[in-house]
Amino acid sequence: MKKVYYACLILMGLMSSVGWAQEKQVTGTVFDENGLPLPGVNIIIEGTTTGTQTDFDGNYSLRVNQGQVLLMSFVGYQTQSLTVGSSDVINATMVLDSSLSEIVITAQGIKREKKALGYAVSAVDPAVIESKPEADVSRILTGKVSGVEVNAGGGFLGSQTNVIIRSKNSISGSNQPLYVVDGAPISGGRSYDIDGSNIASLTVLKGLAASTLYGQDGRNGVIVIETKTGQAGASTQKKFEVEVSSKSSILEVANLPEFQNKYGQGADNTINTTYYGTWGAAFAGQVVPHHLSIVDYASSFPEYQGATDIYRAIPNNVSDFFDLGRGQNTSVNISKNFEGGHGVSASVGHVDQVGYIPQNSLRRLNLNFGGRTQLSNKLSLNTSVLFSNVYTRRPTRDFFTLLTWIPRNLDIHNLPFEDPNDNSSVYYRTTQANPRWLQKYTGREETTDRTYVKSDLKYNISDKSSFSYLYSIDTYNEVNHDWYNSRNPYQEQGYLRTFTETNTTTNHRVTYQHNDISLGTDLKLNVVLGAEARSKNYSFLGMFSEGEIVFNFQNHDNYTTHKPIDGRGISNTLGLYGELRVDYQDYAYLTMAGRNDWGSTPEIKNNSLFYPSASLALIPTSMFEGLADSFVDYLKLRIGFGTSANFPDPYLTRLVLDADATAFVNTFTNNNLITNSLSSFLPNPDIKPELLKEVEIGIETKLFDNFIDIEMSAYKRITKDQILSSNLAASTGYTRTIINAGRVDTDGVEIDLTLNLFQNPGTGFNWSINNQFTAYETTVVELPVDRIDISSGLNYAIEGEAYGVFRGTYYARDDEGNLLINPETGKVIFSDALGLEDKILGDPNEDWRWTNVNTFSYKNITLSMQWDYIHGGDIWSRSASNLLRRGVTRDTENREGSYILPGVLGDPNTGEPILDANGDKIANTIQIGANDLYFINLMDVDEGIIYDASVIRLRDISLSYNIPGKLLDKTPFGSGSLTFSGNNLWYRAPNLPKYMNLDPEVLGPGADNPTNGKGLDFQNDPSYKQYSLGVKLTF
Amino acid sequence: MKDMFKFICRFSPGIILILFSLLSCETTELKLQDSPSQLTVPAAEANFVLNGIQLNMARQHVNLSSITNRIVRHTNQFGTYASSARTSTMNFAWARAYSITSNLNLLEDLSTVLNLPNQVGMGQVMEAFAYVNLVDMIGTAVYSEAVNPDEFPSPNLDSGQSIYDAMYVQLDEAIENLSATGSVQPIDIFYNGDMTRWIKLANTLKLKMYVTSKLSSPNPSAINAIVASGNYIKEEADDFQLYYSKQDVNPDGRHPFFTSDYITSAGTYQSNQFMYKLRFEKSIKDPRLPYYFFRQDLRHPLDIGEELGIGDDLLPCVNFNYDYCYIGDGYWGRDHGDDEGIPNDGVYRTAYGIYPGGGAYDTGNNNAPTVEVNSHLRGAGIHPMLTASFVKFMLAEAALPAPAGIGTTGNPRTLLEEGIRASMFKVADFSGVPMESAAVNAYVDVVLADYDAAANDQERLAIIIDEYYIALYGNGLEAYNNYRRTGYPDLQASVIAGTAFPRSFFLPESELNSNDNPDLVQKSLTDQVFWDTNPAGFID
Repeated sequence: MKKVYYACLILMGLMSSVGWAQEKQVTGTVFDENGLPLPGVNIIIEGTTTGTQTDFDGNYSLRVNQGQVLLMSFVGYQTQSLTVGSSDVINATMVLDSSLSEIVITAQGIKREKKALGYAVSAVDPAVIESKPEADVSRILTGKVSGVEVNAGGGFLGSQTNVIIRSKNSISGSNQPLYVVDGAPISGGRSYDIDGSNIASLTVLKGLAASTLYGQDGRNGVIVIETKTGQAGASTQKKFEVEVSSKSSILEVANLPEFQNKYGQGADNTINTTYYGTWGAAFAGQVVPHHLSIVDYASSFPEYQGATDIYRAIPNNVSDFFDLGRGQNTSVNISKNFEGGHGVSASVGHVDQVGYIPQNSLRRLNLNFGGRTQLSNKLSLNTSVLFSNVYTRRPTRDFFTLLTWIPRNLDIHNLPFEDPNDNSSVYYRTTQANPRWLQKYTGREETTDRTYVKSDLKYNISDKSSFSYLYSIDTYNEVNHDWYNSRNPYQEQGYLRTFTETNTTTNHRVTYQHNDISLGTDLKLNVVLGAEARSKNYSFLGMFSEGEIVFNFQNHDNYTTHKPIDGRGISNTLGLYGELRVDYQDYAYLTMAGRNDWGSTPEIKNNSLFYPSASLALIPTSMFEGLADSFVDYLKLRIGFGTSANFPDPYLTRLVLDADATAFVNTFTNNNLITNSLSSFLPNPDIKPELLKEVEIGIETKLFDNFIDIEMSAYKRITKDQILSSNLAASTGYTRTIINAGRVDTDGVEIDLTLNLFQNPGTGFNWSINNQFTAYETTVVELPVDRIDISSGLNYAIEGEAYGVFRGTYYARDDEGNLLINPETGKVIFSDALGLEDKILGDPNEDWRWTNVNTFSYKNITLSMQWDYIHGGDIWSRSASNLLRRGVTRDTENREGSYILPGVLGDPNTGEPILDANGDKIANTIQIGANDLYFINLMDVDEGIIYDASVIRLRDISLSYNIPGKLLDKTPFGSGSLTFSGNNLWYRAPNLPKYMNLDPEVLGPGADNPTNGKGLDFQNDPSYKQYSLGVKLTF
Repeated sequence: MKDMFKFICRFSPGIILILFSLLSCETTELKLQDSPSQLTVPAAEANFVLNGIQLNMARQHVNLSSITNRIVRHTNQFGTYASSARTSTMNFAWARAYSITSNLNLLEDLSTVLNLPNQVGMGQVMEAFAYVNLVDMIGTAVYSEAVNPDEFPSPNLDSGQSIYDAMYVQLDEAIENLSATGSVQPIDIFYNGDMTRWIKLANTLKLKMYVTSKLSSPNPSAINAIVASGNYIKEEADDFQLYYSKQDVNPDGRHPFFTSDYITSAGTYQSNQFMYKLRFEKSIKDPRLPYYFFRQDLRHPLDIGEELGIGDDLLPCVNFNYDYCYIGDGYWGRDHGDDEGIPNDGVYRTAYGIYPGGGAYDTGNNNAPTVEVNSHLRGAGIHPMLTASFVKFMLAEAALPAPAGIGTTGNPRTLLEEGIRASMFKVADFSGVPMESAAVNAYVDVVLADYDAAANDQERLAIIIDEYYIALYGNGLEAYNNYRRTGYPDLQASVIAGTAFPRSFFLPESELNSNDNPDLVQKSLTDQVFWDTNPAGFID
């Protein structure tokens, strides 16, 4: 960030330096805050690369012109700028930098001092991102910024992550944040395209007051990334630098269930080795038929016909599917800066990772270029070009749905899984595909080429005002291939689907900035005016083929039938925006901004929306003399009000037809039957953009000599006239429509509290504890319909309830809450069997989350450890349903007794309790076996598989060592470091079935499946833990 | 050079603005409301809209048959009635009906320009059929306020009786439209554009409705009028049925019975009772037996188990002494309600045969798993909705004197015989495997002997409905209607502790979840539809 600041200063310096040319020798001493001489302070003449350093006694000497400005900088201190006057001696005292003058990037790339902001902005230390082996930048953000929630869609490498900043607000729309790279927006959420090694800064703008100027795309928060190559020419201090970093990692599966190994296949404690369930007898070496003694396999495997096997546990039959994964991450960054504000930079990054099964891999190549040049004194051009090629591969997710509950006595790795003659799937159940076969003969590949080009032409009208034009284009081509070979029971024909998804975002922006307009001595004005035209273009084009001809050859010519995949769309947004900032002395900052957008998605009459914002920052420690001298080092109070827009998705206003060219076969003509049908979506010509509002207050303070550092925000966000995708009763002729209605409110609080227990910068022992606390509650305040299905018929929006509550089927109960038991079976009666309406069963939203990071450093060694705790939040778990139902985990190991469900007898037809002769309810005394309990009974209603998902996790530990300068003196290296880290090392979710080891973090549809579902476990690929060793060298 | 720089610098803002406007014009267009990927409504092609209606109608019927096949024991019901009649069970059939209505409205709009009376008439017949099915299944439906989202975003239900009444009127209108000459020849997957057959269908549908509602509103004269006109489904060529094809992909046009049983292995259990009825109940085998069922293995399942060394694993029912369990002669399905775990018996259990699913004919020689059999129809089956034989049985029932029937014209005994023969003829003719006429005659003789021996009209009705039930195989919907109306045939009770027989189905959960009308409340499975005036608990 400082580099940018320097660049500004240098530019301004250049402009004012003309006409001065009296060189003389200046000397002086630089002191620290305690009055002691400070060695090693960098001193340069502003606007040049000429400079020196203070010696051991803090002295310096430099030839300089009168009127020039000396910039003095030292790590941990504020940069001092002193103008050379007539005196030949210039002494200076450095002031400790407690981030007071930290420069942050706000909306539309406008740089501001952090203290002047009336809203929350969090910056992430790029070193943290750089040191992780994780290829996806978003995953690294987990727990690094309060108010930011990251969920991975699964443990396969290349799974898209779901990032939510300050809760979900939109019921039907996207809640994903905007990514802005080097000042311009990029398309979609493919955060794993970004090269983590090339990140110079990462800033999160959380609230609407911060993001108003970005327009509607910024409504869910903005992740602002500045790349290293994009900073070329920004700093003249580093003339030539090469940075090399390399990380090697291994990973392993983190959450396999703990399986029981006492019982095998069968039902009701009786062996049947053809069953799915493992409810058979206890293992005792019984002789049972061989698993492949099946008539279908008589010709391929005659040896198994009539053969027998020993009924025994195969303890590792699931874990043997998994291997150690590995990864290698390498990057080289070269930059060269020239005098006069010119610079070039280039970097190459390469990632090569293999997941916990060999069929899952990720490869990425990043090529990044940046350049800045001063075309004339006043005109500069800054260009950034980023290219990435990402390849990911994995088998079908069907692989996992069967895998974790294969029978305990199935020796799957020592049995054939394919027919040696025709490669067809071979399994003990002919109606299921062998997971090993799926692993080998299905797959999904994604190859993406992404190009991002940004060019920024800036004209400095004066040293205070500038005019700039920015053009950016970000386009990616995602080539998707997924295939399922034939010769298995799931996909008789086999298929190959190939399509290219192209997404292009083009952005034009003109900005006029005028800073530091003085109105008297105390008042300063800063003005920004801008116009923006953004266009998003997407298309899908490809082919779906069925009827595989030659086995295991993936080319469309190898299939008998083909169907096109074709779709495209475009949406444009025009925006005009302005920002006015009033600074009063150095303690009051008022910012007012507004933007008007015109969008192409609604009908013309509804296409315009204006949304303003305002914020105020007050710094009492600067306001009142003496306040800063007490225990308070720094205090800032802020209040912000922000609004934003959400334009509807394209093509929702006009009625369309669904056309199907292959709906059926007309047997009279033997042609395919073509149908045209009215779409079941009822368009809404009156749909208009929705308006989001947010009020935010905050406090930032440093106490007791920086011992405590607190940043706190509280906010309330209201989204009214939501664009809702609402179900319609099928009897209206339509099943879905879109309306503007309803209101969702979020109240939230974010606290960052750092305790600097020991502070001995540079030399001694340092210990800091950083705590982040995030809590919010999102409530559906108004809804014009009874409910809206948010995801999968499980997460709903219901008036008065939390966003996304679970609604579903449940156990029937009497008016006192006793379970109703069917008197004929001893099993619970289900609500849906009685035709009872579904009800609310849980809330997937966590109550709060807390992250605790301890960082210790001593001399060159730094150790840090991050713990995350999430309190509350329910999950609906299909894993629990399948694993408990099949009796494979230790949760269902205690099974030889019988169970009596506590409850009263009820009539299975009416749902009324059955009364005895005295009119009393009758307690259930019917015994049932564990098999019935779990298989047929407990898992069949939604209520039975909803759990509290509170979880504590050791997110990571990292140990790094900075190679001391002394050791590097005789090498070409300027600096070097080694980092060892371990990620996702341990977790415990105490309220989930104990031995299932379900990881609540890999739940839910990720951005792959852009729904707003939450807390849904559809048996995703398990999560992983990772260990890595990284080396970074500069020279 | 310096001057030029100066010039550029001075006018940079202007240059930037010009660049902006030049480069950004493709991004400033705001009139982009029409999707480039979807057809607009005026582009609709009338025959394609009609074909959409046809598929919706047929799929509704197929869906309802697959639900009711299990309830009436044409195939095995796994578990209780409650698990076969869930709150979501009617979602699909319900949505299909309203899709028909909304597309029929579109067709009518197109007709004002193009003159498409035949397409509209066909649509009206199919719409009537779809609503009658909803009334028969659920007892009620949204009708008068349907498909008008602006006026009725939360429509009310109409009574079953009022919908029936409205459909009689609509069918008369349809007949008028079908008799007119339009400007566009329809594309038609049922009758290949033969309007005379559509008119027969319209009359036959009315006939079916009159017979179905014979208890609540007997109307013998209406039936007599249709019979007298002779303009109803009388011969095989008039049969209203969906034709499947052997095309296996893009689209898969094969019969669901075939895809269930002939691709990886048999995925459906046949009903032991139904197979018993055809194989053992009468003194002679039903000639349709080898057409309806295909035995993959003629051995006793326990013998197979012994050979495989898995004992009785293939036949869990032997441990529970269920009624039929294994009926003998290689016929091997499941008893009604049997919900034991499913063994790996897909290559042994009895599968669907050649009729109506387009599978294999069971010759009784060299039987083999379905996946290894080559001589089958590859799924080119039919789904029978209203056939000539069904009509004979309906008329036989109606011709019985009240109260068993309603005393319409015709001789029930003759009609019963004609019904059986028409069914046999159709099965054999469709399958292309001749049926021995001696066997048919012998079978007819046995049934007629029983009929003649019957003590009263109720017993005669039982025989008529029993034969109708056998002929209906594949069409569970009519069998379900018959069972509730007459109580016949006398069906096997569930072998497990069950729940009450569903006299109607739940309102679809999809409708209740999205229709905010407070008057819409869920009903009970024991509620009876308007034409079912029989006592509660009269069937199980």
